[in-house]
Amino acid sequence: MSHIDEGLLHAYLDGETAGAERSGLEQHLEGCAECRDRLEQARALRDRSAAILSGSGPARVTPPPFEQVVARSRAVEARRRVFRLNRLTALGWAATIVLAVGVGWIARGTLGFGERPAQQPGFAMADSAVLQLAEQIAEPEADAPERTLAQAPTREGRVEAGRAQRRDEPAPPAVLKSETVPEEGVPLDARAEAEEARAKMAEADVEQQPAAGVATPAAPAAAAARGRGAIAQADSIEQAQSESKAAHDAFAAAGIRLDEVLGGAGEGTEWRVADEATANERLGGAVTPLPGAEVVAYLVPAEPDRAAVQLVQQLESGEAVVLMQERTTEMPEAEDAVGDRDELMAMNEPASQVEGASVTLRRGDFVLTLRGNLPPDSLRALLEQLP
Amino acid sequence: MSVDWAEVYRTTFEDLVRFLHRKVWDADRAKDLAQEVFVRALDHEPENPKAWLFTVAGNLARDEARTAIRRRKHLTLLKSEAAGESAPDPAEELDRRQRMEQVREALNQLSDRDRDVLLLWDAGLNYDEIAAESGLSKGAVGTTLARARRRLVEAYGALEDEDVAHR
Repeated sequence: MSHIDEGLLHAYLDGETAGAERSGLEQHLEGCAECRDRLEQARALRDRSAAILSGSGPARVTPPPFEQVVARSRAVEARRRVFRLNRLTALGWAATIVLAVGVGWIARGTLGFGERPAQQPGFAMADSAVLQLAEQIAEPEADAPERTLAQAPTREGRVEAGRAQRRDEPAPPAVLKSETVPEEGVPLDARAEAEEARAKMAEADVEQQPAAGVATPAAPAAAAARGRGAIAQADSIEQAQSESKAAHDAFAAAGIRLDEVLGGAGEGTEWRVADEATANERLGGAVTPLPGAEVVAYLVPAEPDRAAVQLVQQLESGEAVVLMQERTTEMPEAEDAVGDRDELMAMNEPASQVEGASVTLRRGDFVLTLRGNLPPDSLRALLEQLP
Repeated sequence: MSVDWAEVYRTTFEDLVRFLHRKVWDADRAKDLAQEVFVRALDHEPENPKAWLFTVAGNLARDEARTAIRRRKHLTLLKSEAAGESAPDPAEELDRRQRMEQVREALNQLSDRDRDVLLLWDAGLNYDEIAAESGLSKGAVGTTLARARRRLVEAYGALEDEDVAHR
């Protein structure tokens, strides 16, 4: 019989052999002086290496309480939930702002509030944001025609609402229109965008429903059209959305649960639409938007003493992002890291679990968080552009 | 299969820290990472806890080695090691630190696979677990360990000789 392989000698010493293998080895060792010698060499090597390693360990390890690990695990899960909801909330906010703008437009037209300004860039921006968001929302369903908005149960209602609106009311934001003649007073930019929107709609749906501008995948816009009557008096995001059953239905058709987004889930913070001056006052200084991106809306928390502002901004590429600025001394401890470890973990989850991303940066007394449906690296680069 | 994670934590945490320590060479960081591995384990609830824990620990340590945090923390390595939980005799501590540096250097002379297998064995994993973790066959684990042990002993011996020659 040949001599025992060195690996097997180590396995024998390590107690990793058993049964027939072990007894066979022992039998061989009894009759083979050379292998006994090699076994002792292997033993010496094993003991020596173990001794070397034992001298390099940490001084002494006292495990932190297991409860600490459990608490951290729960925090990560909670953060991940918030993270998912935040993205939906961001979409919901932007959509609702447009909805509120639409309401304002209609209310002004029907009730005679104020004069129509010469320029309404906010509307054009808002419409564009709606289109963008609607495309984002509709996109995941592109492969599931049975669930597209055009076939959603509420379609007829939306079409009817759209027709009624065109007959009876002044021009709403461009995305809701389907006539080819530009409305008087609508800024040129908005007209151009309306044309573009109509072109997109026509591609998708014109043959079956020539007048079905609102039945395109622009779910938030459709929600705006259907829900505007119910939310005319709304002064908060929650109110605006929760009071509109039609908006709920339309959002649901797009796969967004408004009650989850707005029902106090997420961060548990109620945000209200504000103007720039109010936002500045709340933050105790000038709110700094991302450079080169239009501010679609300013949001402030309902709690009056919280020094935080969220800006919904639209990048040149059309993507909507939400920039939160909060004055605090409590938030992430990382002084220069972008995102803390748990957040980075969340970002590394598969896209099916966490859509979009969020990066956090501390600047002096401020914690800045940027959320959006962009890769974390892009968000980080954007956030770092803040002066 | 339901895993008693409190028990796994109690029996494995120290091994995990030792394993991680020899990858990141920072006691505080090794403890942090070990905790993080358990946080992830509670989230994933793997069926084979021990193999999973060491796999994730190995991955985290690898990531760690790539980060700037690692470099920054390294600057405080000696300080944090010295500020352990007891206040050791300074001469003993100096000796321990020198030894640790030598072990580190010796381990660096091993191939990645040999080093991983050796450290997994040292952390208390058996051949089956090491095989699952490293992708080796169980039979190859003994051979790899034999080679890794010999190389470590030789490399460490050479460093010790060098040290003696310098004194």
